[in-house]
Amino acid sequence: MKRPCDPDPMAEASGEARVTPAGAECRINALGNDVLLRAISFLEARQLVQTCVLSRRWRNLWRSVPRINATHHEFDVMVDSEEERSVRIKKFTNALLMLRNPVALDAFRLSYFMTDYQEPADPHADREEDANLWIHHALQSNARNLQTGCAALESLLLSGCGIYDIEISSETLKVLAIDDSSYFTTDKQLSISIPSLSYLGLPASARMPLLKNMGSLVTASVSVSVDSEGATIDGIYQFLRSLSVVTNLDFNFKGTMEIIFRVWHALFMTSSYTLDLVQLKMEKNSQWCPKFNNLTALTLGDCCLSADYVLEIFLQNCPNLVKLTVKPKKCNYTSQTIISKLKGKEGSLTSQNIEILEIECSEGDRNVLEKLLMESGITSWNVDTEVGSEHVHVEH
Amino acid sequence: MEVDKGKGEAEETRKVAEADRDTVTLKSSDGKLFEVSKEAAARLSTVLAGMIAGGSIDDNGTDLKQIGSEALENVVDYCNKHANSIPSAALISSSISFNTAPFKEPEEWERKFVDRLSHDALFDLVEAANFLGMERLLDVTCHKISEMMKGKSPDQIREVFNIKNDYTKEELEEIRQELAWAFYDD
Repeated sequence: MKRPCDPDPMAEASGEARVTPAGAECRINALGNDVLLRAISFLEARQLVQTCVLSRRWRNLWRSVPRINATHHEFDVMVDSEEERSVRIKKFTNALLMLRNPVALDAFRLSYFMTDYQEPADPHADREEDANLWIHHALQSNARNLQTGCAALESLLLSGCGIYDIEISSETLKVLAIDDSSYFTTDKQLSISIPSLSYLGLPASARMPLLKNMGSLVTASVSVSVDSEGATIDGIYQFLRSLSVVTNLDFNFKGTMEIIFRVWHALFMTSSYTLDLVQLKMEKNSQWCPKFNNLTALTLGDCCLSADYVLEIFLQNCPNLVKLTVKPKKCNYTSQTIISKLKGKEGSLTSQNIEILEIECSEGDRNVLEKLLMESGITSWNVDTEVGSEHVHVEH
Repeated sequence: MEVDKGKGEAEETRKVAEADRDTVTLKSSDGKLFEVSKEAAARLSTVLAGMIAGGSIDDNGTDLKQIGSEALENVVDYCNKHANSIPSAALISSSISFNTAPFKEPEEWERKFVDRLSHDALFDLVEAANFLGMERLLDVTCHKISEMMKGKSPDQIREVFNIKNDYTKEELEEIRQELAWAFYDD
């Protein structure tokens, strides 16, 4: 490593003009590499790389930054067309990731969009694959970083991504969230193996991902779609089983409308329609739901509650539940049915350990709900009008 | 041995006295004394936290020989402002994962805090924050440095920071060709 502010005989020999006024101290070059890297890692990616021309001290610094912030804004200028820009972004990102040193990434922000309009023969039709390669690199960077003992990439949030990877694995990732606007490849099962993961957020997908090494998981927010061909009782069980260590679960259950249609179809049409409905099987037995012994907080989203057996079976399998949140807004599921499920066969809420019951209900439901709560022997509850939900503290 | 033991006991007494105080006294390289809340110092600086926990804080002023009085005043000022500006809920969550949380943009008061600094004072503070293991202050000051670079040409950056261009013209040309994907000189 070259000493920062030392006069360089080569430069003098070549007659290079001095930019620095004689005698002025160069404070920035006197900083340690770690600090300097921290400073320049706030730059956007293109300017970051361009710091290499400042002086010899800077030549290879960009290769070792712990943060990458690549956005399309840096490529908005000096291009004539959308296409030219996307070529440059791809070329840039590929080169950056290929040429950087194998140091750990604390953060990798990749923000770019390309027009939806694509000619079939367009060479950039593989744009998601590129992004996936980049994400793959990001994940690999942590794996390496485990060996070097540095800090690691801990959060990966994917929004609006096409995910064609069939395997996501990391040794250091703590948060993985894939949102509803992302979509998965349909022909292969996605496998996720992240022993360090504490938060997992997954949207409903045609094939439920195979989850491995989820021992550190604390919170999961998942959707299960029973409409898809790949859904089976066993598949749902395996999927939920891999989540069964969590203490917080936000569960959504998709596909009810489709089921109603299929039942109607099967009953009233005289076709040879096979009535092979996962949801109906789920209703008949509870084999799809494993024991959640650690679970203390459960949230059931909209569609779970149109299939009300979901609530009942979850309650049977979550012996230590303290807080239950139900969000029946969009379904024809009333507070009355929730309470009746909660009361269960023993006829009392006290059969559960539930201390906090949160029901998102409309204004009109409140009176009914309060009456029901009284009848159930619950003497105390708080009404939080601001969030439009009912917080009920159950007193035993 | 006996002497050592006696010294150890005295140290013990002093540690107890120190533990009763809710501030610590820091001494700059030029001998000036500064008081800072013990809680804030321990929360914001890994080095001070270690010294407080290890009992190596001196009542008469813990020597910080690497830090000048102007920088130390800024450090103490930052600690006090930080203590006053963060709502308690945020404080709890930030203390859990202070070092692992993703970078949060500087807050308004933090921006003002670094904006008023002279060039030299900023770099003194960067070095002090680094020495004291003050992650957040280091991020905020480093972020300021990056803002002084943002959107500027290499020549402009060299001028701002007094960086001497020690490349030959041939070397520069070579780099620009090698990294053409970042320069678009192709």
